[in-house]
Amino acid sequence: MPENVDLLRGTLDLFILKTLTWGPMHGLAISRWIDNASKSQLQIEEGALYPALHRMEQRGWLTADWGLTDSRRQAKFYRLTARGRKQYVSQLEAWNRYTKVAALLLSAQGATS
Amino acid sequence: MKRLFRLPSTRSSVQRDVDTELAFHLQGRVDELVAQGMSPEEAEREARRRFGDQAAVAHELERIDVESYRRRALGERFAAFARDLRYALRGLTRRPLYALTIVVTLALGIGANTTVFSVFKTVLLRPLPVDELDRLLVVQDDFPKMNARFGVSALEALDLFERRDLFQSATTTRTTFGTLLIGDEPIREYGIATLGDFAGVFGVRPMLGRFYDPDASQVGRSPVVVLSHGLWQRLGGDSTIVGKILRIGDQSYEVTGVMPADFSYPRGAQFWRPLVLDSLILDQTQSRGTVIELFVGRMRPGLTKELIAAELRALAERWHQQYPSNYQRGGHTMVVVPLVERLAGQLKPIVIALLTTVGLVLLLACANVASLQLMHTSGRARELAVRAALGAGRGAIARQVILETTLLATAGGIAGTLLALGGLTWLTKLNIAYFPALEDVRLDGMVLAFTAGATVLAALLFGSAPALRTARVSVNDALRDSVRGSSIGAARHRFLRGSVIFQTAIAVVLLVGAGLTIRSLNRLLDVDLGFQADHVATFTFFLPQVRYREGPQRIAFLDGVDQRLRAIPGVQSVGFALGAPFSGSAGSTLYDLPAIPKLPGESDRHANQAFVYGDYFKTMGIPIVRGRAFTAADYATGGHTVVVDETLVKQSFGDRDPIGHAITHGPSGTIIGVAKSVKLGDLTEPAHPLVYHNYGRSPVTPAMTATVRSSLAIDAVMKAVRTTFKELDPALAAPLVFALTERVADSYGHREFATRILTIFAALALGLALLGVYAVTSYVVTSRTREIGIRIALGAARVEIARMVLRDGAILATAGLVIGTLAFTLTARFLRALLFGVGVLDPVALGATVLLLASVTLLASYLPARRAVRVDPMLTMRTE
Repeated sequence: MPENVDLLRGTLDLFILKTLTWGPMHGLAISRWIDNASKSQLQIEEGALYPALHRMEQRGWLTADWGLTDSRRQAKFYRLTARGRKQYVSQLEAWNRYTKVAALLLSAQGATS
Repeated sequence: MKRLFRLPSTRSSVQRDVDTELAFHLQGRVDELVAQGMSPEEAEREARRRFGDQAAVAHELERIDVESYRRRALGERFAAFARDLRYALRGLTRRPLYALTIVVTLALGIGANTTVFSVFKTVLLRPLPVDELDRLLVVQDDFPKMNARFGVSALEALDLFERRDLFQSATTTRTTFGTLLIGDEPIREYGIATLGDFAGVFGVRPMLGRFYDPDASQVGRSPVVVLSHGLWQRLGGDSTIVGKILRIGDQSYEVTGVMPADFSYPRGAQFWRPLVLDSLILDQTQSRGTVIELFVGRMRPGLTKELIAAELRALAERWHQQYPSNYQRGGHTMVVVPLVERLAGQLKPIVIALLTTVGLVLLLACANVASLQLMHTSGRARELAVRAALGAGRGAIARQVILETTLLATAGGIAGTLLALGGLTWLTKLNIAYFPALEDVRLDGMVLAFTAGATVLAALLFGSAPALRTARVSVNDALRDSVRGSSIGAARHRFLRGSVIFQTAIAVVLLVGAGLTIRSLNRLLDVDLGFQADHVATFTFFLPQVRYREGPQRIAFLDGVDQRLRAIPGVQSVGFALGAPFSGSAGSTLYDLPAIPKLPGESDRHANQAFVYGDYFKTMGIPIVRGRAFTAADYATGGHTVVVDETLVKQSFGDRDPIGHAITHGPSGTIIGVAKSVKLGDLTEPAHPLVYHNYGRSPVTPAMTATVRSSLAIDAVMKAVRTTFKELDPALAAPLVFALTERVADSYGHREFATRILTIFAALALGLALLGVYAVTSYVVTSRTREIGIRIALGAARVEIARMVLRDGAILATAGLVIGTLAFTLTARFLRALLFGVGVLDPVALGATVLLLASVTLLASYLPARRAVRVDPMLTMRTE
């Protein structure tokens, strides 16, 4: 497995939520969007996407509806719920705080005595 | 995007959905890769590689979705329940009076029944913590001609012990008393002398040590004793007490065990010791017919009480032949009585009366709840019909009705439990003196579950069932009916009227019953005691055999008490009598008048005994109607003299003068006076001859009851007695002093108690019936509003309308009265044991009931009648 996958697991939910802020999508579309947005730098094992989606559906962050794609094929579309949107906002804030602190810490120099 | 359907909705579709979703993903990827120029095989491989382990993912998704489905289903069910609950609560709060009435009615039904059934269970079903209690039988010597039953003698008991074919194990008990030093105070304790296998019969397992063996009764064995839990604690609760020596009276005993706290047989016993089979007890000629033991045997499994009774009658016959001199009198035989029945004693008729009463109250409550529910449901038939029309399934409506009933039942059950707890507390506080058995009554969970279950079931059956039928049958009718506002099912009206008649009838039964017990009590209070109980204090004491073996020692002690008490200012006179009224019996025996032949029709010459000393007749206020009372000279010198009572004179002498005649009644003596007859212990018993013996010339018993007439309060007398006893004999326990009036009152306390409770229940029934009459009458008025409006519009006088409504109530009440009175005369048996001096058809009790019920039902239909009179014809027309 690539090294970046572990980091990814913790943030996959956040990526999915971010993706779905653009509107309802099916799994494949989410996968494509993440791939495009990250310029193919994230090697997501696509299968990992689905358990995350279903778990978020169970938690009530997403709802799913069966629908037809433009090519008239049956697909499951995920949509953010109000709770999911709230979740996205708070996870994003937490992530920003975390990256700021991490950057601060990793760029610190010398030892304080 | 076009929405197709929402899923997953069922578990079976989960797998299909997962497969579809993943297939879509893979196919999409393949198409994409093919479009980029890959060969279909290559694209397929690449898509699968990017996806990872498809099977594992599918499995994981199914697991998550099934769980989601479960959670959602639960949530939906809960939400549906919450919705139903909200509906039900809203339905009830919209009719608070209806809800409150049902809850109160249920609470009364459940509370009263739980209370009484708890008592019933403790008193009649399981008064002792003993396995297979129903197999324990008491055997008694029976003298049908004398109408007397006694315990058996020790010798008879020993013979009965041999009958292993009848009794697995058997024992006898005899009351004994012993004075112990508790702290520094000599206290007289109540104990039991046992013979045979006491531990085996009662299956006792002492808390400490062991129960002594049956052969501890043999002469020469060292004395042993088992203590009650209570006595052990009062002695300091020493856990190493087993094996230690304890002094009781003049004897030293080795403690072999301590009983558990819940064992109390005979009730109140503080210690158990073996009865020693000394030569006196074993003397066939002396003791076979005299010494009295209570025999209890554990019946062998498979036998019946009747069989044992027959065997014992045969055994009695054999004894008569074997020991003819002991069984000459009174046509002796033996009878068996279940121990449970004996323990219940006076409580049994009361508990049975109460059971009948609360059973009736429960029926009344059920009828009340049922008609209230029915009225409620038909009142809302429209609401239910509208809901049904709007698509609420039959199930949803049923659920709502049942939920409402359940809510009411739960509230009623809780209130009923609280009521029962209160009732039991009240009962135990009130009447321990009359019924020691009540002390042990506890709220019984099983009983509570039973009554609550029965009541709720009844409410469901009688209330909800019609409600559901209404909901089902008459969606159309109900809509039509309620629009027309009249002619609601004739069947329903019939049911309601029947219910009112039923409720009134039950109230009548209870009212007449309560009335009769009140009348009986009044009759009892009017009974002439034959003595003046006011201002008399009594106390009973025992002089230990060792230090007071001789008559003069006993007389000296009595003289000491007499002098010291009489010296106290306020004390008018002091007398002594073993066998004084309401102070314990001194026994009874046959008497013989050598010079007086039996009068024609005279029955056995059998009389109660009393042993008198001091100024007894004056102290008790018993008039001497002929001759004279004992004087100090009679006590001090000369032969044995006796005073007889009027009843004896009437029975054996007729018009002849008894003074100077010889009489043999135990000791032989000369009759010197005739006293007025007195009641000895039960106001209801018919007069029985009584012979007063001169204790001064015949100081045979170590026990004595003192009577003190004074203007002092009981506490003051108690203090004086305590001082007197300390001065005369510091080793003697000071007796408890009672007011004689109190003892007399105790003798009918159980009647007073029953009367009070029956009156409460009757009032309760009256209240419920009043409620029923009111509810139904006003319901009928409401449902006839339109008719009444039309009548008024057509010119009917308002008085006419009022009369119509009142007449309706009067008809129901009269029907209830007639049926209730009939029912009472048929079931009056349940009260017979509590009646005294009144017939079942007592005009006063009946008349009072009729008056009370008539005024109450008139009142109950007055309010609806007033409402009917005020009906505005225009308004009723407009509601169309």
